[in-house]
Amino acid sequence: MGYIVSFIAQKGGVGKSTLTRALAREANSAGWSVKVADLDTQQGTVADWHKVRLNQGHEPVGSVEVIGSVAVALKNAASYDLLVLDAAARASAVTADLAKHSNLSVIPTCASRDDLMPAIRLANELRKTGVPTSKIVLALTRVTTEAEIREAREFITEAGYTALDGCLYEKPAYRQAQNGGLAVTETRYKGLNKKAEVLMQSLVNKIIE
Amino acid sequence: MTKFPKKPAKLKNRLGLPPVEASTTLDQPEHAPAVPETIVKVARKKTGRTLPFGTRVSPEFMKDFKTVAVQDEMKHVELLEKMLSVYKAQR
Repeated sequence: MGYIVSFIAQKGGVGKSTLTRALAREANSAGWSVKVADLDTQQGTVADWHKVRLNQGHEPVGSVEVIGSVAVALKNAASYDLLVLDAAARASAVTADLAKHSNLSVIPTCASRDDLMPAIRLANELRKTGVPTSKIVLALTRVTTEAEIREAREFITEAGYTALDGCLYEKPAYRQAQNGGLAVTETRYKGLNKKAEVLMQSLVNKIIE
Repeated sequence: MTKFPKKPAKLKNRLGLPPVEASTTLDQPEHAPAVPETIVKVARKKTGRTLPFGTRVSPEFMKDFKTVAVQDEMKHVELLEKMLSVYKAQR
């Protein structure tokens, strides 16, 4: 049975789809068979991005599908090395279901208090519903300064959770890459790719832990 | 006198303390409940009486009409139909 990783959050715009794409791309380029279930049936962000990717002539990141229910998404999980679940931009009963079935639940969050508070509250609620703390990680996204990163990491640690190493910086080049169907590890800038890879590597290490 | 290096800077964290409470969203449905459909009164197609019928009458007429309907256990519409058929037969 392959690994199941879900990206969940109470808020939109924190990087669920961005990290979903990057993880799928990295796993696929490492030779893993990857399935991406885009559970946001209203927006289908990852599915749209994958269409652009294919139209631009880039390598697919795996099998990407918009799926309306967790049960259907999990149906063929065993056929893949990695199933990546990109949840909708809200927390609901589906989120709890996803977390229960996942090897790892990733809650992306920006470094502001406005984003960190709901992220921690969601993690607390997941823990209350029986998801072990070891299966919940937070990923810092859209950060700008080292001080900001340090403060956010301390905040997460204080709350009793793990923040993945590395983070995703707020850079136009990441957006531009994604606009063209690429992942944040595939920008024109090696430095930015390396930074995104640190986060991805930390995530992968946690998945296979 | 022992030489100490420069005092380590105290790093402040402006984010404050993390919340200890949990959110209460995981029992919510995935989609917000839709507005319940307004109940549209369907005209009684079974009897064929599908059109509204209204007119103003005098209080005396109304009293008589209702009294007869009650006495003969008829609906107002049934009495009205009967009246019309009698009128048509006798005119």
